[in-house]
Amino acid sequence: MTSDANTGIAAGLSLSERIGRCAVLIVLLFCSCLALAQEQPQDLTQLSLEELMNIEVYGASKYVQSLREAPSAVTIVTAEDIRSYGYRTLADVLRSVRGFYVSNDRNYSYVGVRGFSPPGDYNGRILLLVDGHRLNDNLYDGALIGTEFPVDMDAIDRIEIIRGPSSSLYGTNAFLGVINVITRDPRKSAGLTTSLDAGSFGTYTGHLQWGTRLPYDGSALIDGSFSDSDGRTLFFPEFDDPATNYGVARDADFDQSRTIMAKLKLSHFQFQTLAGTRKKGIPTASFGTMFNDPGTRTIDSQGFFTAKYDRNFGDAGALTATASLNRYRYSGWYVYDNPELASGRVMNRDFGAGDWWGLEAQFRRKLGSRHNVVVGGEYRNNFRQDQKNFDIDPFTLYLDDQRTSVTKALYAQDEIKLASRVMLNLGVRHDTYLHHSTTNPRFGLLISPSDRTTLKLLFGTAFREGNAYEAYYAFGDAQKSNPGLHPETIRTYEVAADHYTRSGIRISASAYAYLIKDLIRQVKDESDGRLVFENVARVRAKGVELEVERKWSAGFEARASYSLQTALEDRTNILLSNSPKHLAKVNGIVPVFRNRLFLAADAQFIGRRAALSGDSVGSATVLNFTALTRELSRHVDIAFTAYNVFDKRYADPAASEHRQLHIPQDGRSFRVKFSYSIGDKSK
Amino acid sequence: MSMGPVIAIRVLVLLCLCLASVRLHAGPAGEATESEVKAAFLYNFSKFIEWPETSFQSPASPIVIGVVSDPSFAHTLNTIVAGKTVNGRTILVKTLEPASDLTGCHMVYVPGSYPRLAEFVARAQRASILTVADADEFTRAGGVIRFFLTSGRVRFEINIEAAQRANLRISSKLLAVATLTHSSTRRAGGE
Repeated sequence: MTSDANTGIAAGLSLSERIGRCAVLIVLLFCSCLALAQEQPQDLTQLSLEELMNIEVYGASKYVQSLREAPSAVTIVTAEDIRSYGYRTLADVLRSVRGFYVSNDRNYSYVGVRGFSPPGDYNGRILLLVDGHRLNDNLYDGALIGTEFPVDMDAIDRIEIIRGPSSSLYGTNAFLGVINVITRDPRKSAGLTTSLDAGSFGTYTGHLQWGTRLPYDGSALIDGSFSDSDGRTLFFPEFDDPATNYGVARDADFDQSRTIMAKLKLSHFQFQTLAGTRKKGIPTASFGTMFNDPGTRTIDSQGFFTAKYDRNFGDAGALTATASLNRYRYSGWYVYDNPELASGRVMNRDFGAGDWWGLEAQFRRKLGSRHNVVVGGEYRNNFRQDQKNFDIDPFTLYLDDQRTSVTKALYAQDEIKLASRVMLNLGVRHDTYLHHSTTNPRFGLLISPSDRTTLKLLFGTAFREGNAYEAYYAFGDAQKSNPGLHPETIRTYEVAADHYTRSGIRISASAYAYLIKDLIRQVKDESDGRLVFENVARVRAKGVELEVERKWSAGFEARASYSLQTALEDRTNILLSNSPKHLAKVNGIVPVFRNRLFLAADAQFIGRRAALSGDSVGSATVLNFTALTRELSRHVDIAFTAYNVFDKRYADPAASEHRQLHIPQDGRSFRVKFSYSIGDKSK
Repeated sequence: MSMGPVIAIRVLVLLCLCLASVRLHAGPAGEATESEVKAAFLYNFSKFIEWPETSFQSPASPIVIGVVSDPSFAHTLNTIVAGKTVNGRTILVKTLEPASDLTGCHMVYVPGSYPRLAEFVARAQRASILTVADADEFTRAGGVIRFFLTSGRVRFEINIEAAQRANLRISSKLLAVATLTHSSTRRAGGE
């Protein structure tokens, strides 16, 4: 089954054969799980009132029931999961999620899903939301998921990970999936919480949050965090030369971030503001910069302010209206060698400044007993999309590009109850840009043969608009702009099944196929030798995923998933770069002592991936291990995590701005975290 | 050649088997879906509620439970109460639309959220019907029993005044395990 995975090339026929074989395997697995999971149903009517009151219902707390009605395959990661498995960033969270993988070049983290994560892409094919509000910036479409993500992990209530296209609701970037990070609600846990942690590579993080309930169904929350890391001393054999410190990069891997957030809810009004900034040293000498120079670094800052009116008029429907102001800043400092200057070096500055405001309104209403209708509109005004590049001394201006743009969209969705156990979900959205417009539908048929089983048949299209960087960035003789880009599109077909057994086991399986057309990719224009972004590629992919999860009332829980995907260049049938065929995840929590002390393990397997140069990086299994307390005392908790316990040496494929073909990843590292909280945690 | 994926699959198969077969002290009552537990509670309510004589045509008339806008729940309830009797009465489950006539029902359950609570409650009260719902505002709007969830367990609160107004008598056994509440008096001027 893996005989030719090493070559990275596969013929179409044998490939589909193998997918077929794997699909059979998955179905068999699913069935065997189902068969094994069947247990004698208990007769609930024989139980006393008190006994009934002690039954845990997984539909409520453990799995969010409404997810079964979502027209997508959805995963939820809770605050408790984040704490239990020691996740430090959103990237850590995504690594553990079925079908997702993350690569890192020691500057940014790049998320992949369904076999798609081309090196050099800033996550523009994933839509990242915080409390339902778009975070992808208006220059690079960037979704920042590492330490540059502007919300602290301790400020999160839960993360919803929605697979597949959602442009019918969200427009651009909702291409392969949507990640919605929901921050804590002070109405659920008022009071003060704080945490401090220390970890390997001189890493220190602190977090402080205070929340309170207010009259008129109101609440307020203030949240702030810092994180500082010295980073590692790294060795890159590509630079093993006396002129470049024998390949050793020292003090160049630092990482400093700050986040702040405030929320206020009063009656029907909600206000939220957040901001985050992160400074990161680049130890890899990317973009041809000087090796081992701590002066090369990037700073990313982003934030938003939203004012929301949310009101339920009962029979007459429900209305949500939001106004927002958003900001993103990127500032790159790149040190270049210049023997003609006395200093021998020149500082190049690369800037991106994006500002936008937006209005959104959404109206929901039941029509008759069968229809649940949502209609909405969105207006986004990008009043600043500036890119600039220059050398400081001697001053040389390479790029000074200033743009503005406007997007308008209308959408509608109808959830139709066709029969008692059959639901049809139809959605469509029309987006208008300056020179073109695009319409994207989604179709979902949801069948529940029983209370415990849901089958979803899904089809949808999505798009991503070429961004300001792709369209307008130009640099001397090296790179030129292409204002003529049009949106790239994806068409996805999917079947998903969920089954919950009586003993608390959840089994999910899905199979999908997608086709990407007009994929925007950087290519070399042979006529002038310059790099340019063009709508050049087509990608075809298929995959299957299986997940089994079980939660016991005693606090045990375990989850395992496997995904098989094949994402190919359409005409040549070559596997995409940085696209593993196999992913597997296993994690679990075991109570050790009286529901106070727990052990958690989190293992991820990623298969071989092709790298840009035609070679590949090998498969890797990484195991993380956490020992944690829950309510050790009334106020204090401690967690200790060992990451990559077996010190597995592995690497991620590098993008073309690196001389390295592979970027080595961290070996074993540790973190210890203390949390302290005062206040009531009722509900 | 990489053996990783093969091993990964084997590990997964093994894990599935373990997950499915191992029973770790799951507690005496185990787990059930929210719907099943609520359905079992409805069955129990019928045991602990006394309806006025006039509600039943004969001593053998069935207790009729109406379920509004949720055939899937009605199905679950039907499975739970199948073959059961309460004080010699069988239990009959009916599916209702929001505007349906409530006549003939002894208990009506409204799953999920429901917009026209006050109007619904008033109709039910006149007919001595036990009203049960999930909506947050339900008991404050004059409904009798409201389900809510606390740390993954189903709980319920009872509005005794509302029960009295509907001429229903509630056993103290049921009241003992319920949270007691009352109708909203805000409209009458102050909390």
